[in-house]
Amino acid sequence: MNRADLVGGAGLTAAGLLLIFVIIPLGTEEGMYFGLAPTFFPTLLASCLTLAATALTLQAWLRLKKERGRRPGPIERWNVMMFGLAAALALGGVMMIDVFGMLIGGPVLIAAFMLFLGERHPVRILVTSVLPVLVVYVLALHVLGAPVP
Amino acid sequence: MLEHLAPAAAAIFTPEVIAYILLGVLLGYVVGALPGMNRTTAIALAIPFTFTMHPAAALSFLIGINKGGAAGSAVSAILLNVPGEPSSVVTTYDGYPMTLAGRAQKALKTALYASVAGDLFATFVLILLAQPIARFAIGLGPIELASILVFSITFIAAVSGESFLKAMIAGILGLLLSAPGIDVETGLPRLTFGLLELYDGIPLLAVAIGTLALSEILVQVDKGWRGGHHYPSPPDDSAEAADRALSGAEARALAPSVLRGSLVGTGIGLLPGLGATLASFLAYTWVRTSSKSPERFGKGAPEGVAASESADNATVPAALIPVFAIGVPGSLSTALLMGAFMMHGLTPGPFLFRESGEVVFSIYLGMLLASAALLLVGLFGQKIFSMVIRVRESVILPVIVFLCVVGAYMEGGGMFGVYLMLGFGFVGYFMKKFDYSFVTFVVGYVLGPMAELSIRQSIILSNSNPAVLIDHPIALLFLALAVFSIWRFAIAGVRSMQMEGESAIQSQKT
Repeated sequence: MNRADLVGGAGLTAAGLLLIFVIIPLGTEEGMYFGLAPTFFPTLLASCLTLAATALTLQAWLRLKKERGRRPGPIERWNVMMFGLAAALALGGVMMIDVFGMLIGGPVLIAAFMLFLGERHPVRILVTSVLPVLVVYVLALHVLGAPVP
Repeated sequence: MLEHLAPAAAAIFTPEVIAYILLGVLLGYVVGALPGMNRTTAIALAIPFTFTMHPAAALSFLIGINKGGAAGSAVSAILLNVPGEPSSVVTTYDGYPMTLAGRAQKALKTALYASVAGDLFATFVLILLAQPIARFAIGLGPIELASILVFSITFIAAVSGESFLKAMIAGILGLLLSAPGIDVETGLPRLTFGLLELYDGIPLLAVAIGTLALSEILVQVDKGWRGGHHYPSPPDDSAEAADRALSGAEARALAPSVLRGSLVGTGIGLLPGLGATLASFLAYTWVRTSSKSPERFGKGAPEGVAASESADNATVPAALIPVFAIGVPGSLSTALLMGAFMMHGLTPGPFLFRESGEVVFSIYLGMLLASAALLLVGLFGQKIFSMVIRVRESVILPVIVFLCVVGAYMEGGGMFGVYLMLGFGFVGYFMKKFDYSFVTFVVGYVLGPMAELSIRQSIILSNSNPAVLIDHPIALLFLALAVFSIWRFAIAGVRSMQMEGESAIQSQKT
């Protein structure tokens, strides 16, 4: 974890500095105001973030110096691969819903995830991917009057 | 108080609202019973479906999910030795041995009655305490409020996760997320980058569903739960009638354990960040150490089940006391409920009773109804829940991913909200993996606007002069407590670092 904390802390320190000097000034519109500037609160928080992240980096660095030998981190290559696949599936499913709507994209998203999770029973896949979509569609549009994708 | 009772009862005692409350408890029970799922996920996913409901019905429905989830988590703890939620870990100590001894039904009934008793106890404490505390809190100015918020976030960061620094960073990131949108004081757009969708700020549900629900699915996938779970089937429950039922004498014998659990759960629930897991551990330890035969604990003592479950359920209403009274959530579920309050046009805090007294009393009645529903659902649904816990993850998880998408869309942000939710889901996965507390992250995000307003008002009122704190003893007290939290846990961090270093050197020598 110390190596991950070192990288994370350094990245967050950089992000904090980027926020203070680039993102917050660029992302806030100029105008007339009394009292404190609109940039005050985010700048205060970004400064706290930079301080805390620097402290985390230092702490992780000191721990790493004392640590002998490499310990396994919280994420292995297999985890990254599984995450990447699941994230790609989720993104693909959302894009399907965006383009074709919930009634087509929804079952595709559910079925794809079921296959990814090892489900191979065709009837189970069909029922699980179609039924919840129909229930949500009817519930949202005809009972709650809420918008659906 | 009484003038609100009649209209509140009229709003709650309708077939539609009662059905919503029953549905909420049932949903919570099912989610709580499923290992790996939790009530905060269920609340986050259910919020969009409440937009068209009456505020009291919507909030009672969501609180029903919370209560049901706390009670339902005992089912898999007792039947499978797999806690539905971390707070039911302690229930496995005696619940599962009872199942192995053929007394599963007795254990489930003990857990149910203890849950309902703990929940009712804390609900009455909430009803009795919230309004007096709110009356006191009305007198607090922005300086006091700012210091209470600073204390809440530092204290939650101090007690959640292994690293105080990482929890603090998560809290600051949560606060930062609340910054985009129209600036509250000047009316100027801030950090919107020309995107109209960001003028109202980053949508709560995109943050909540992404970091709580979707990231959890990604973690579950990552754990390698492929092709269904590998939990053992519950042992065959063919016990005799005496081992299935809970007699009056047995219930009376359990009463002191339930009372202790309820007291601990209410006390812990009141404090920010401590949570139900600690409450159930403390209650169990108290009941075991005060028992005349502590050796029975861990081998199937019903008192152990009663203590942990009553404490777990008592934290749910107790955690709402600071939300109702001062508008400060102390846990994930209360942060989400506070978000739901705001979406329904209610502002939690001292003015809630004055401005929306009728709705508050409707929620109180709804909570009492939810307690009754908890008993009914628990008594009549146990067979169903025993079956529900056998449903494969490959069926449940994909449906939840779909509900995440629909939920993020329904808040009003359209597909923009859905893509944001996906982004927060991916970020939440890494936060969980690298132990950045998402409790402080979500609480920070919910408290952001209030924190900004009170901090800015404090600075303007004090002319940026910290010496004015001398005239505000309550603010000083909370700031001192915040500094103490930082000092206490920073020291703990340094000590653990020293110990790690020493043990590394020691292992090098050997």
